[in-house]
Amino acid sequence: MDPLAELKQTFFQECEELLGALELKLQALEEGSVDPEDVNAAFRAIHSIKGGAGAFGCTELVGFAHVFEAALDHLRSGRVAIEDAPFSLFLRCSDAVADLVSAARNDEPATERPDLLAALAQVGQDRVSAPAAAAAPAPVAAAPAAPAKSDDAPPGIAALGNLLAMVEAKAGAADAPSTAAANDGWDDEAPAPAKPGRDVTLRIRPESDLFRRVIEPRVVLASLPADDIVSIMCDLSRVPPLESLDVTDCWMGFDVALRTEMSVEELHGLFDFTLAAEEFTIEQGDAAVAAAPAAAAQAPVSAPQPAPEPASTSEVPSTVAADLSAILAKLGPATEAAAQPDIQPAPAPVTPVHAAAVPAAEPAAARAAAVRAPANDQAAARQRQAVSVRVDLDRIDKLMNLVGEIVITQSMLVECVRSLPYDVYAKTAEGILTLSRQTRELQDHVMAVRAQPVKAVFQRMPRLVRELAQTLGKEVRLVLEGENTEVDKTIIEELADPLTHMIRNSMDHGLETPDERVEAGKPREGVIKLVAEHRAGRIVISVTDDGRGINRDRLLMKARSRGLVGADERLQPEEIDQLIFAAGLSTAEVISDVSGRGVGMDVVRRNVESLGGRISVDSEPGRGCKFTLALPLTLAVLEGMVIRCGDDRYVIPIASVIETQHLASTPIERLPFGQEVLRWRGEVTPLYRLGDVMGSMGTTNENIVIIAETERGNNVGIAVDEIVGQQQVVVKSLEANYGAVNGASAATILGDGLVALILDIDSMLRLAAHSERNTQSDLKMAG
Amino acid sequence: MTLQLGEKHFSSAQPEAAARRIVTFKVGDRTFGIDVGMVREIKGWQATTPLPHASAHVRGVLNLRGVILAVYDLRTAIGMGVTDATATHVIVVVDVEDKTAGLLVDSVSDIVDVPVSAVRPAPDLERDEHGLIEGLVLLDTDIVALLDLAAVIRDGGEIQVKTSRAA
Repeated sequence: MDPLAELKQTFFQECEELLGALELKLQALEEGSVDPEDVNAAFRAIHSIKGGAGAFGCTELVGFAHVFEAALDHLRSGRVAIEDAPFSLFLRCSDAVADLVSAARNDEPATERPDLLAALAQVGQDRVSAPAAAAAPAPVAAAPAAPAKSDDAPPGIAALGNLLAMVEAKAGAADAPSTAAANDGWDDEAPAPAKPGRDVTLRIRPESDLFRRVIEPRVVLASLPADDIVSIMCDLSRVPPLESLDVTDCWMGFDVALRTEMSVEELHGLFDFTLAAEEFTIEQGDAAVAAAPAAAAQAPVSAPQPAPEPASTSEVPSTVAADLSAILAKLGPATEAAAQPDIQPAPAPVTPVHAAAVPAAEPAAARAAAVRAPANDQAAARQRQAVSVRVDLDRIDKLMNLVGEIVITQSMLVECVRSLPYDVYAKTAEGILTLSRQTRELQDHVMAVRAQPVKAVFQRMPRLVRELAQTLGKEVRLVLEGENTEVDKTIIEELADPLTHMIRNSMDHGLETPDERVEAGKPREGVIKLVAEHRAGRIVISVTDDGRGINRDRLLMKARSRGLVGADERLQPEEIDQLIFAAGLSTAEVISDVSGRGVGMDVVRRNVESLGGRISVDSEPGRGCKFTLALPLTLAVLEGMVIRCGDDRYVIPIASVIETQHLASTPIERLPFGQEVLRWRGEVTPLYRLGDVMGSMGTTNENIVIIAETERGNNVGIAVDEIVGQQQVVVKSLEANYGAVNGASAATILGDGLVALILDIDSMLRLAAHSERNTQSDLKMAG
Repeated sequence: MTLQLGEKHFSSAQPEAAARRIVTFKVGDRTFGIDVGMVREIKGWQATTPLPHASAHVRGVLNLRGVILAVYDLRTAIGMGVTDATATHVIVVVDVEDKTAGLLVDSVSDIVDVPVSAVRPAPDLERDEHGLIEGLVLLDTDIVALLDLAAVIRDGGEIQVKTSRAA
């Protein structure tokens, strides 16, 4: 893959994470969070997407993200109260961004969303005008004659543009007498003062990671209109001493003087793809020469009071807000001119300016504070990024395999040591003990690297539910539980498809329409619960709905008509429910886009089983339906009890073992059909003899019983010959070179290099039931 | 244990363009062959772990440097009973389609180059109901039956459906 394509892939991967974060934060906000950090995080996410998209030329994505970002910025700046913000719109927009990302990823044409764009722009519009008007009533009212100077402002910031014009006129008129002699710093050097436009000073101070973002200063500067550049000065004051200089850091800053007709907003737009809002400031040096020749243009550079904190006002996010702060910067504190006495020979402050400046100065302070906070957040975010590394899963897998080999070698060593003479043995054993502890630790750490909370998958579901609810005309609330349950990365990846299918199924078939629900005496809003938890060494994920449950009659009818169930076959209700996993069955009355082609649940079952997992359904007519998905936590290692039966050894996952005891101490009874049961803690527990079930070779004298738990939470007794020991085993696939083995989920290599099967209790029980049925039919035939 | 293979045909500068290089091995007095490209390695017999309810010719699984693969008893596959495996028996590790498998045979004999033209199609043997024999090659003294390895291991896996090839 060429490097650019690789970078692009990384970008798309990041996009997915960012979109996840964005949605999560928006969700939290919609549900009533008023934490500004949520807003900031959402803003950062969309900003990062926009930045990357710009670098890779995904124009549609940039366009949309830009508008979205601008809307979010209103929240960030506090201009729109968090409580009032249209988060459902934002959520739909985040879905749209996700679509644009996937379109860009697959090189497909992007769907335009003018509706959403318009709605987003509206967020900016309504909310901007109100506070802006509130913030500046005095200067507007005081302005005797406001020259129409809003020509450089796009309509979106018309209100601010007007404000700007009025304030400028006022300030200019007031300042004119005393600062007529004052000159603009750039005008001294500018050879073409006759050029129409305004003087603008751009201070570009990139963060030190500029190069690592694959952006060069040249690219930044090239985005400026060449004709408008008056001068470019490089600021090298930040370059550290040679010994501490990291050449991959950018220390350069640039001061660019422009004489341009572009508005501040337009100038901001130039840097959208290259610089973060905090990395540059735009200062309007002056009122336009061409626009207001009579108004003694140089006036505003006078500083009525010393700048308390120039840095804070220069950190301005790139939106319409910039205009406001540009005005404030001009009126109140902070222009460079203030620090340059040669340009500012008349130090006497002019009182009339205060009339306009004072009312506006308060929001200035507020802005400064508001701006600093996100700047800190960004620094924190960058710090977080610095401590995490993106690693190819393949590399972790190799590491994992290697650790697995070490574990096997180590247990081989343990066996070898047993045959050593005692004096040598003691010392060696000690070393091996340490080795095994370290190996275990190593393994845990590698596993931890691969472990991820299921959140990564769960957070995709709200969108699915939202969209489906709209398509199906249903009202649904999705409840997520146990999102932080950790599971191996390999499993995470495999979860998305089954979960999507399960939720679709619940939404489409399970939940009723709001009207039907009301009729049935239920609340209009249906509830789907998505719960993850660890149980019996597996991750168990359930999707529960409070809908109508499985329509057993119809399911059975369909199954009969498809020949899946014989006409005279009687099925238990539970057995009927399981038919939902049979191929080609769908009970939806109308085949919809959502589900109903009858390919859903049987595909889910097949996929889940191929991973060594299982899926089951419990349904209660009229009350709802619960799908339970059980998958191994990892496909890599497990803690196992090594047992022997006849000549063969097996491993039972320790997580499914509840207790072991001598069989002799437990009374065994026989049920009418031959099933052996034992009484265990007052309960009747079925007993299976492992030798019989697995067809073990050699004679067996099963005198140990292992009480194990099935996924459904039932207990069973398994009779074995001997418990050999307990150890961590590396799970090796049987499917890779052979195929699925009934009764076993996988295999492992024991210390002597021989292979042992890892028993899968549930699959073993099915095997037992199966062979029992066969025996019975054999008996029938014989009889 | 790795067996040193006879290399009597290797000396010829280049095998004919249309030639197949075949590894031959014995089960009882019969000689079988497979393309040398399918053979990954040859190792001595090693105890296997039996699999429950597998086909008769599946001897079980073994650990080959951390990879678990199934060993198939060729003798059982061709209906000559079960090999009483000893240290002198040999497992031919082969790559079949996307899987690695072991083939338990009595001994490996040789590597030979045979012109493609010398390979005759397998006669339509009724007894070869699984289509294990892909073709026959006449060597000086022996008839070498070329194995269709995919057919040999086919019945081993989960799906124990008798798939007799188009007969």
